[in-house]
Amino acid sequence: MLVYVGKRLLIAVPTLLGVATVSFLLMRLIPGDPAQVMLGPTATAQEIARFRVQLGLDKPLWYQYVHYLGVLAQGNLGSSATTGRPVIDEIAARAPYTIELAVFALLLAVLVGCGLGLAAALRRDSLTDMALSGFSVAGVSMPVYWLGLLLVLVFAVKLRLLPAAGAATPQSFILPVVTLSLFTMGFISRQTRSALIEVLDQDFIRNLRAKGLRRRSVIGRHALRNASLPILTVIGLQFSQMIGGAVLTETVFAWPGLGQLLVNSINARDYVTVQGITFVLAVTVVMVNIVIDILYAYLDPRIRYD
Amino acid sequence: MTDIVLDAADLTAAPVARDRVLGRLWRHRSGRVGLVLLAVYLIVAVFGPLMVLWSPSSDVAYQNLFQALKGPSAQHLLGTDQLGRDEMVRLILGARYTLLIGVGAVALGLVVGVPLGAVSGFYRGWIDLVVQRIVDIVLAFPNFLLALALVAVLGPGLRNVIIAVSLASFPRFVRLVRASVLSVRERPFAEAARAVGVSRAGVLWRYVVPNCMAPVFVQVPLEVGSAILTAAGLGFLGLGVQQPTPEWGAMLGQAQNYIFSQSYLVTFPGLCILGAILAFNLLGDGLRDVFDPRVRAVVRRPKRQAT
Repeated sequence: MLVYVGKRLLIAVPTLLGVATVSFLLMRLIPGDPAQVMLGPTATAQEIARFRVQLGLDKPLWYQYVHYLGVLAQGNLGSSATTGRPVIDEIAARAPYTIELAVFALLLAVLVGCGLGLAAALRRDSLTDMALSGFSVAGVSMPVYWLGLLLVLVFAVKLRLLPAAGAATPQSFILPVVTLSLFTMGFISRQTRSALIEVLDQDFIRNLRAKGLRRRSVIGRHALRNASLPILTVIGLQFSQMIGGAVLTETVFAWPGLGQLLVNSINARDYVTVQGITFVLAVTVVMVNIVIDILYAYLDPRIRYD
Repeated sequence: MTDIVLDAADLTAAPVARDRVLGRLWRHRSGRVGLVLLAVYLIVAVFGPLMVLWSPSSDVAYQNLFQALKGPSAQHLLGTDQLGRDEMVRLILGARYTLLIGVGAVALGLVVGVPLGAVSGFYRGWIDLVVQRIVDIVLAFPNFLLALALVAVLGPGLRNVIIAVSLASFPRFVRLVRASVLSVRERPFAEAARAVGVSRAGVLWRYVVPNCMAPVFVQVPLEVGSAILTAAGLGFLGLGVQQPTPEWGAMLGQAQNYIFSQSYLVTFPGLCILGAILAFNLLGDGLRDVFDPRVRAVVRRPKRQAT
């Protein structure tokens, strides 16, 4: 098992290096002079020249790249072009909000999604199944920003039950968490249903039933366990999806997390911060996928000894 | 990274005659709903500008502040927006942009992804290694985040949105085609082609790739749906297609400012986006079941093995 974990971590090294390279290249894709673009039309030639030196744009490209990687390795993401504060500090201040939002949304999505998928699979082709499948496909088709606005419209504007924006009170969590979780909920529910149906069709399930095992333990102890691998895969994939969804959800609810910081930085043309946030979020996704792969190997011994 | 793609081996094992696909899809419950919904969107996208010629709002640059933010009435069925433009007219005009972005981004993704995946899976070796590492790296970025970052640096606008959305999604086609090629290249007909002296490139492009397209075909509607979702999200943030182009995501982003007073401006653009994505997702579900030999409840197995 330890060997597997080590191997998996090693494979991640080139990916992480690639992620850093893409982040580096992102800044080079800006049409024109990045320093000029970031400082805007009011900047003087002197200010631009100074900023170019600060960004290292006066050095050759290969030097910039090596320098970027070296600085990055020390956990330094540069300084914000608008506030001048280290980007890593800005990210650290915002990250807890996004993490809370994502964790609660993922929990809700997994719990409800698995439950709905299970209910649909057990009553396959019934009216319940049809209704639940309809709900799931609507969930994965629903634009997260529109769902957020609709919930605000109903629960904040019309019913005045919940706050429309901000993260001040525990109640203000409800709408953003529900908004962010619906897509993933639909996805997990669909995957749970199809994974379970596939398992339930297999011979060993019939044998277990035939030898007199109760339905409840056939499903709980055998079917669900065998269906858990594809479900786990989806949860891993959905984490990445959720980060994207969080950017939009945070915009709708003025949630003070990383997504809002990202959108604000884009609008302020603060590409140093944009680059930093993009890098940190991508690294998080890589890390989460490593954890999922390790969990996978733990649940399915065949992978470990491959 | 792990990835779920449709089980390529299963899909390529049971080819379905092309002329039967539509009929089977029609007998499939969600496939039929998807087809009908898509047909409506297509008609509006193609003939939309002709449908609204009567209205001054059919000119995208039209403004009439005296008529701004009027609720639904007989004259303006879905009300007017902050510049006094008829909301329904703009929604009708918007259909073509949404479909163009969705289909355009996926087409671009296919053009890049299919050859890369085919070469990667067929030749293996170093080229496979390089392509797969690139795919891993791009997939490490959350789809929406990458598209957002790309649009942020490239600048907004229709063309850049299509490029950004397709760049963020082509790796999925690479994975799908590669997995499919890996299984098809071992099949007897591919070996037979080699044996009678067809060149390696000939085997790949003339025999292997055409037989790998079924899983890609099934994935396409789902990808179009996802591209529409991403592009409208960019529009919502004000970074996608720019005003005054009537793009639904951008309209929704503008409407956010009027949520407390003119809630209809929030309701309808979102409904249009939802319907478009739903159409493609239902179609994708239908296609998957039509091509999947394991699903027998809805679709009967083909009587003869068509080629």
